[in-house]
Amino acid sequence: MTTTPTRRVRLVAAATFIALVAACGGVQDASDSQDLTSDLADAEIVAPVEGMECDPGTEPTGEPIVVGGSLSLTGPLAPTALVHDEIGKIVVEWVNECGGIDGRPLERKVLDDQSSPAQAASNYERLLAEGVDLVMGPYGGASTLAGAGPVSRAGYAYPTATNGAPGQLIGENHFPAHQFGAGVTDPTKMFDAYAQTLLGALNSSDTPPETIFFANAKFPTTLSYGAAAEAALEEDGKNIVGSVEYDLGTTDFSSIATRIASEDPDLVYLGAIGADVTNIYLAFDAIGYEPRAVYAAAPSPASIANLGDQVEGILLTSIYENHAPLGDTDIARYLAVTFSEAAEADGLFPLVETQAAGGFAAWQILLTAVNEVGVDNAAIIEWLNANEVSTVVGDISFDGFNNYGEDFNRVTQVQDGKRVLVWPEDVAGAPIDLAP
Amino acid sequence: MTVSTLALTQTLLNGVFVGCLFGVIALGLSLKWGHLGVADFSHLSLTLIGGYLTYTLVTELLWSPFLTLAVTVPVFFVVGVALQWFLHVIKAEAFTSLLITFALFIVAESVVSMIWSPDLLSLRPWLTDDLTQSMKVGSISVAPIDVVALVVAFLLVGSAAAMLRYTRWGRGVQAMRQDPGVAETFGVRLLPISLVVSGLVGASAAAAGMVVALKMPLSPGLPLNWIGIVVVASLLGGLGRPVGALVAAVALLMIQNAWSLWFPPQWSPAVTFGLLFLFLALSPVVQLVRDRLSSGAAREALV
Repeated sequence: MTTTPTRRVRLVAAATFIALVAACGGVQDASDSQDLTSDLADAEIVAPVEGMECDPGTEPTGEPIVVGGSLSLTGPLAPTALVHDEIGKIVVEWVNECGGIDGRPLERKVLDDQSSPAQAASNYERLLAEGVDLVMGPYGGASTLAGAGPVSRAGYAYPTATNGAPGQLIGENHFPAHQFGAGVTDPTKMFDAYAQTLLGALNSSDTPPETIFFANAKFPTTLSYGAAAEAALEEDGKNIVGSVEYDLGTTDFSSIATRIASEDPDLVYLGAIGADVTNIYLAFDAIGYEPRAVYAAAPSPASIANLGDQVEGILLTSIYENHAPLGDTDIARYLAVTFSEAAEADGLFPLVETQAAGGFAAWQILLTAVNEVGVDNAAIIEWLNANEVSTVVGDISFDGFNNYGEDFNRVTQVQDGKRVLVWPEDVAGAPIDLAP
Repeated sequence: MTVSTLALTQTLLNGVFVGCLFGVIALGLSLKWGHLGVADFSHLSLTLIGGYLTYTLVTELLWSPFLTLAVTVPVFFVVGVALQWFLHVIKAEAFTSLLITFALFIVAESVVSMIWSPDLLSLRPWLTDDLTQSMKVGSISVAPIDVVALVVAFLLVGSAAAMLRYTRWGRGVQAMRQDPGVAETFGVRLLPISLVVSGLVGASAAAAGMVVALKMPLSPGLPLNWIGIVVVASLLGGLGRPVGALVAAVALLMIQNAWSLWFPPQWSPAVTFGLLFLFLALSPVVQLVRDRLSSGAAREALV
């Protein structure tokens, strides 16, 4: 093949351009910073709930105990629902490795509701028609409410993990792991205890924020969180310098970031879910603004981890982090190790935090009752309504509105790159650290 | 609320940059819809997959994001060709094509979840400060990633517009759009030309995907967030018109951003669709006025 001088010049120019472009792309190896599980200690298998026997190596026999559930394995809720699916798989394997329940193997039957509440209701109807022994609640407030109808009518116990609509009555068969309200009887006050916890956390700092800007996603849970927090902080004398709501799925936050930067508040309250926190920080970057302090309600843990050093000091809503005192039990240690291995293999955030802990606690509620009274839904409902259950997120009793008894909303802070509970004091791993 | 000139300028500029990204995505949709008659919603999924492939090549092989184009562009060209070939083989009409590409759009979300992760993936920790730290131009901040979006948009849209306007091949594409039968009579080879158009559109998804991976965290459901603005930009810009798609996307994002600066941000998507509604509602009126004017001019010419 022959090449003309013009063609050679073009080839050299093209090669130079490609080389320049390739060389300009600044990439660094971030493998180490992505390894979040390196300091997890090995753990021995123990029974997943208090009072249950664990006999590793004993093969369970007999009729399996089938637990049916609907989860959003596809659709917009899938990223979080898959955490609950992972927890379900771990629990089943864990119980069976311990020899089962009364020697019977545990089995799980999960149907995909495609992030649709109507499909969730239909799934529970099908599972009940197929004669599952027990049920586990789905993920997401709307699906939880949709599933409650058929499950309650059938007289089954309905444990739930992180129901974001606690004010919507389900009934005496509802056993929520993520506890709201601190015993209030008025459903409109369900988020007040959460707001007081946040206020307590902020005021426990030597330099509590005085000016606050609210940006909330238009999503029922974040709006409820935000409204309660705004009222409580304002009542405490804080100055709310701005409050905006944005549409779910927003990816361009540049104008909201500009509004926040214009006010330059002491604290930015983000009622953010999913990837919102990452996108808001990218918008801050784009305009060269560094917020003084940020609090995020309900963000995806991966969105926080992805931001690395940039979110050092960020405050988050949480019910659990993997450290003492909550994480300092044999059950919590084994959960942390097994979950991290499974989650990493499936591309999920590998640390046990709100969703995984809430999911596991829901299973602990169910298994504790089964261990006490057997596979009898009426007896399970009666027992749970009369007794307290020890779970990884704390001791739970079901004696308030909608069977909520406590308030497990806590405040986490990223300190030295790790998630640490900073409030309330009885579960805190470190004090809050807000820069003046 | 009072807004400083600086804040407004910064917001409008950010609208330009984000608009460039959406303009590049809209470019592909507009070209296929306008010239091939295929409203290819799977183009958005292909863009997302381009982002995920970029992520994988950067994080697994430590390649520069720009170098990944050497792999993704040819691969996506072939994918674009294959999709158009498939539609040709099954003799898909416009409506069938729409259903097929929409089905691919839905299926892609599950496939991406299965191959990569349903959770968020972000390139940000893997990028050096050269790409992530904003530069100050006077009092205005400019992120290097946004400059990349701008350059990619100008390169792709500029070359697409130039090819359509100044090359023999581009004139063939335009002739095929106006009247395929007549174009074929005059020697335009319809199948090869439509395969190449589809391939180039696929290749543009690779470049857009690279910008997406740099600009935002990846999640399988991301195309659902883009579809509104991309479709509206394609329609407002005029189907098959590369510059129109870019200008419309930039204008829409600037309007949305300016709106969000003064008014509740949750209404900004309504502004986008409101503009589309106005465009569609006023189009017949504009056409009527045009027809009246031209018929009046014709009568005057006869007199």
